[in-house]
Amino acid sequence: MSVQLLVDLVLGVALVVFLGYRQTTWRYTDPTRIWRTPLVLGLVGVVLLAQTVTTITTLDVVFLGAEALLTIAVGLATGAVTRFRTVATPDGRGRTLQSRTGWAGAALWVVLIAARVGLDVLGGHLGAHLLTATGTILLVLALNRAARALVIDQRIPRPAGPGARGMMVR
Amino acid sequence: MTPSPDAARSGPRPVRGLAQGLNALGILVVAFWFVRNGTALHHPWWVWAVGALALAAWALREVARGTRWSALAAVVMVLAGAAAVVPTQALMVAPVFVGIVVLGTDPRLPVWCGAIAALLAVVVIAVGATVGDVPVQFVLGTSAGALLGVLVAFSRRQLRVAREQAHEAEREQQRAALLADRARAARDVHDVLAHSLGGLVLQLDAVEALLEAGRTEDAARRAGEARTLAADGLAEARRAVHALRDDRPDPATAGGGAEPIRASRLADLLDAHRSFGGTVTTSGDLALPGLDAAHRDAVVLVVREALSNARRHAPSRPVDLSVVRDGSAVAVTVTNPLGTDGHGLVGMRERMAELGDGSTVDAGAHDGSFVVAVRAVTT
Repeated sequence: MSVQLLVDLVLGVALVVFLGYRQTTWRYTDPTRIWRTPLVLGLVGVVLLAQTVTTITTLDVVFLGAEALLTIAVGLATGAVTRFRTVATPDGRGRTLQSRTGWAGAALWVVLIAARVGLDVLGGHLGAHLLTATGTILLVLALNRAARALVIDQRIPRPAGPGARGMMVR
Repeated sequence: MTPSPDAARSGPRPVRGLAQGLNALGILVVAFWFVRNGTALHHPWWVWAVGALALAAWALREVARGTRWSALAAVVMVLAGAAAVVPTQALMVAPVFVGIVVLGTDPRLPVWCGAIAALLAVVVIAVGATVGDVPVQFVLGTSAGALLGVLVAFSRRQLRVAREQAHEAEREQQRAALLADRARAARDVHDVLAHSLGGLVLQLDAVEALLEAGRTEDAARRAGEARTLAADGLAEARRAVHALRDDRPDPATAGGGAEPIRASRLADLLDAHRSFGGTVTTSGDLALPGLDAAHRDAVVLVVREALSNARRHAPSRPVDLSVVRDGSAVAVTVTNPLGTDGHGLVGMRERMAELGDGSTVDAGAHDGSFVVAVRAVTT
């Protein structure tokens, strides 16, 4: 258990460094494709969860719900702190819009991971084992990305005309 | 003609009284069973408290519809209701459901509020179920109710957005109709004033010249003609204003047979043109046979504008007018040496297009001359 925890920690630190780098650099954004990642992650998560889970307890529901609330809140905040800019030279796919969340975005990731680990430990002690399933982790990520996409979808600076629109939920 | 608030609200809307009545009935039914089951099950005091709080918030929400208190009441309904769901054996899922729908539908709140409220409710219910040792199926069942609330709220929200868009489109349409009305009024005013005032200027110029030459009798005759023209113009301006006041949509048909003032014959127009010192040669039947009153009126008004333009832009140049029966239509052509365009040509085209049956007018320079060609469909 302690070895696994150590591996988890190392992986977590590496992930935080990687995410910090990703969040603070300008990256090309495609408004029509911001929903792709959450959809794929969500589908895979649901399939994995359906294959692995046999029983579910009320405590599982409590922790899953709390984690969902947390990840959605972080996702909404990530969407809100995202900054956009338009560059003159398009990339290989003709995209000119770039976005980054900066150190605030990286900090939100750290908050999410720390809270996730904390909930994981607490849930494990209380007997909620569904949290550690791979499917759950993917679902949490999917919810986070979906919440971010929802906010970005409404905030994104759009060129005139209906062609460049995403889902446009109001 | 700004659309009145009543007109803007005239779209299909849910009956507000009915919604409030149903909610009041719901509050009464849930309150009745809450008290009845509560006395039988011997609820602890906190269940009575949160249950009563949820019901009070529901009632407050009905009173405070459309205000900021509505959202606050909905939050209390969700949280207090969810806390009481397990002890009341799912009875209190009703205020939770309504609260989620209210939060998800409120256009002043972000779209995700309904989903967050549902998740909160599920967590609170699951905590209650864990403490009360209730099977997970109960939690999943009530969660399905919360999810249903999110879906209902989302569809209601979309419906509201669609209705607002429909209202917006309606307002745009009213605006377009208003602008079309204004264009029609501007055209009529232009036609009347350009014809009579333009003619009047020419006549008075002639009077001045005749007086300078000492030909007093000729000058008096010209002045008399000018007076007639001014009186005609005034009468026609009155008629145009009258037609606009009466809100008659089509001045071409509105000015039909009943109004004797409008110049209704090409021959009169040509006489007037000659009296202004113009030269005009004609060919064909000037009585315009085969055309009904609306078409004849439109043709005469277009020709009047064409002659008026010819006088203004190409004074003392010969004008040629021809009327040719062309199968199911009558082709009227006015030709004069080249001049510049004004608002009259736009009005001419609009007037013929308004007949809506393929009648047209073509005005423009052809071979160094300015040609106005009318094609009016016969009845």
